[in-house]
Amino acid sequence: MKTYLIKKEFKSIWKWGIIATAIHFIGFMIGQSLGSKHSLIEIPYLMLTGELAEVTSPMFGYKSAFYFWLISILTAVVLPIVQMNPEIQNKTITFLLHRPISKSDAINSKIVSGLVILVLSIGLQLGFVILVCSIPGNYAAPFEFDMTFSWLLCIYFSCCMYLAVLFCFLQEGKFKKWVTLFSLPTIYWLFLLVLLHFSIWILIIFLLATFSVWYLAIRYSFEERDFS
Amino acid sequence: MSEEYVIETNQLTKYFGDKVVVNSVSLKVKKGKIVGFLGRNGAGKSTFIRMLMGFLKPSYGTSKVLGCNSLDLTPEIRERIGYMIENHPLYPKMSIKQLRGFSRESYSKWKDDMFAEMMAYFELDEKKKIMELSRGQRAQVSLALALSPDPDVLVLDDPTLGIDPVINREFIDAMVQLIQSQKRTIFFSSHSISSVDRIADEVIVLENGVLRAHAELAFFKDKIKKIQMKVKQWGTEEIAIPGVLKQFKIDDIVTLTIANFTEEILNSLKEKYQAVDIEVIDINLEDAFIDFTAGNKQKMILGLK
Repeated sequence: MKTYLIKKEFKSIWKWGIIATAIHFIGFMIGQSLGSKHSLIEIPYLMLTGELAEVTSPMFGYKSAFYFWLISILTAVVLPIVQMNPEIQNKTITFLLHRPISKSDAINSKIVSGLVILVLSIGLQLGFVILVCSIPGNYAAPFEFDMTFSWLLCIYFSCCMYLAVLFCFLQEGKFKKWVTLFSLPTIYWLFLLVLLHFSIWILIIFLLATFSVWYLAIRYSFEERDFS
Repeated sequence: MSEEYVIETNQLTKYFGDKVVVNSVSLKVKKGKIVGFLGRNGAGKSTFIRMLMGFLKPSYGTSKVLGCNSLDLTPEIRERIGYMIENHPLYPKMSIKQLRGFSRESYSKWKDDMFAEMMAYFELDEKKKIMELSRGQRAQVSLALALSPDPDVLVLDDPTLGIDPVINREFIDAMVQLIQSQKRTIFFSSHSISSVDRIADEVIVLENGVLRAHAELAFFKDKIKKIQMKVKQWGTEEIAIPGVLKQFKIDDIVTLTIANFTEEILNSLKEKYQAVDIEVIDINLEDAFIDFTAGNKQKMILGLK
C-alpha cells in the first residue's frame, strides 16, 4: 500500500473525523448524565475528579453504549459516503486511478484511512474513560478490561457497518446504489440485533466472518465497476 | 511485445442500455503519430477514450494501449501513458503545489523542472488552489500533470473544451512546443478543428459511434473537395454520384461537396449532367469536417487503414 495515498485520504477526511469525535463525546456525556443528578456540562470534570462515583459501572455499560452505538452507526454510514461521493461526482476518481497504482492500492488506502478515523472517533473516548478509571482511588470499582467489552463490540460493529455502506455505495446505477444503501445495512443491523439475543459469541463470530466478506466484496466491486 | 502500434482497437463496441454509443470501431495508431480524433457532440469520442484507458468495460471487442489490454493496464504501463481527462477533474481543495507533490510521489520518472517551467510559462501561482483557477488554467495544470511524468503516449480528451480562443491558441502552442522535440504518440480528441489542422498527422472521424474516416490529414483534406459547375441537364433530383456529401443549386450553378474525390467523378459529372465550367475548390479541414459529418449523411468511409 502506498503511503502517499493514505496521507491524501487522511487529509480529505480528517475534518469529518474531528466532527465525529466531538459528536461521540457529546453522546457519551448524555449517556453519563442520564440517571445522574449532575448536568451535562459537569460530567467531564466530575469524571476527572472521580466524583461521578454513582455511574462507575454504567460508564462501560449499555446505557452509555447506546448513544455510542447510535452515533457510531451514523458515522459509519456517513464516512464512506463523504469519502467516495466527491471522487465519483467530480470524476477525480479517474484522475486518481490513472496513476501508476493498482486499483486495490486505491481502495485499500480509502478503507484504511476510513477505519482509522472511525476507530479513533470512538476509541478516543474509550481511552479517556479507561485512563480516568485506572487512576487508583478515583472510582470505587476497580477497572477491569472486561468492562470495555460493549465498547469494543461497538467499534468492531461500526467497522463492519462502514464496510457494508462502502460496498453499497460502490454499486453502479443510482437506483441500485441507494436501494442497497438503505436496505442492506439496515437488514444487517437488524440481523445483528436478533443474534444478540442468542449469544454474544455467535455475534462475534458473525462479525468476524462478515468483515472479511464485506472487504472482499468491496475489492471486487471497485475493481470491476466502470468509472465514467 | 510489439509496440509498432501504440493504440489498437478491434471491433470496440459500447452499449448504454439499448443505445450503441461506440459501434465496432477497429483502428491502429502507429508510434510517434499525432492523431486528431474528431466527432460531433455525442459521437462517442469520450466513451471510446474511457474504454481505451480501461475505465469503461466494452460491451464487445478489445482495445490495447502499448500492447497491453486496456482492462488490464498495469501500473508500469499507466506510468507511460499521459492522460488528460475531459473537463480536467482535479482535487479542488488541493493547491497546485500539493498536486505536484502528490504526482511526484506517484511517478518514478516525474520531471519536476518541466512542471515548474510549464507553470512559469502559463504564469500560474503554485500556491493557488484548484478551485480558485479558471477552466483554462485548470486545463493548463492538467496538461502539465499529464506531460511531466514524461509519458510515451499522450491521450488528451478534449483538452481545449470551454477555453477561450486566446488561451486555446496559447495552450496549443505550448503543446506543440513541448511535444515536437519528443517522439511521443499523441491521441487527442477535440472540437477545435483548427488545433487538429495545426498539429495532427492523422485524423480519425467518429460519427454516431461509427468510424467514418481514418486517414493522413493531408489525404483527408485532399479527398474532400468542393465542386462548382454549370449543369444543363438537371431537374430537381439529387446528383447520383457516390460520395456526394452536400449539394445545392442556384439557377444553373450547382455546388457539391464530394468525399473520395477522383478524376472519374469529374468525368462522370460531365457525362451524366453535361456539366461545364467545372471548378474544383480546395476546402479547409473545418469545412471538410462539417460537410463530412453534417452533409447528406451518405455513409462514405474514407481512407480506412
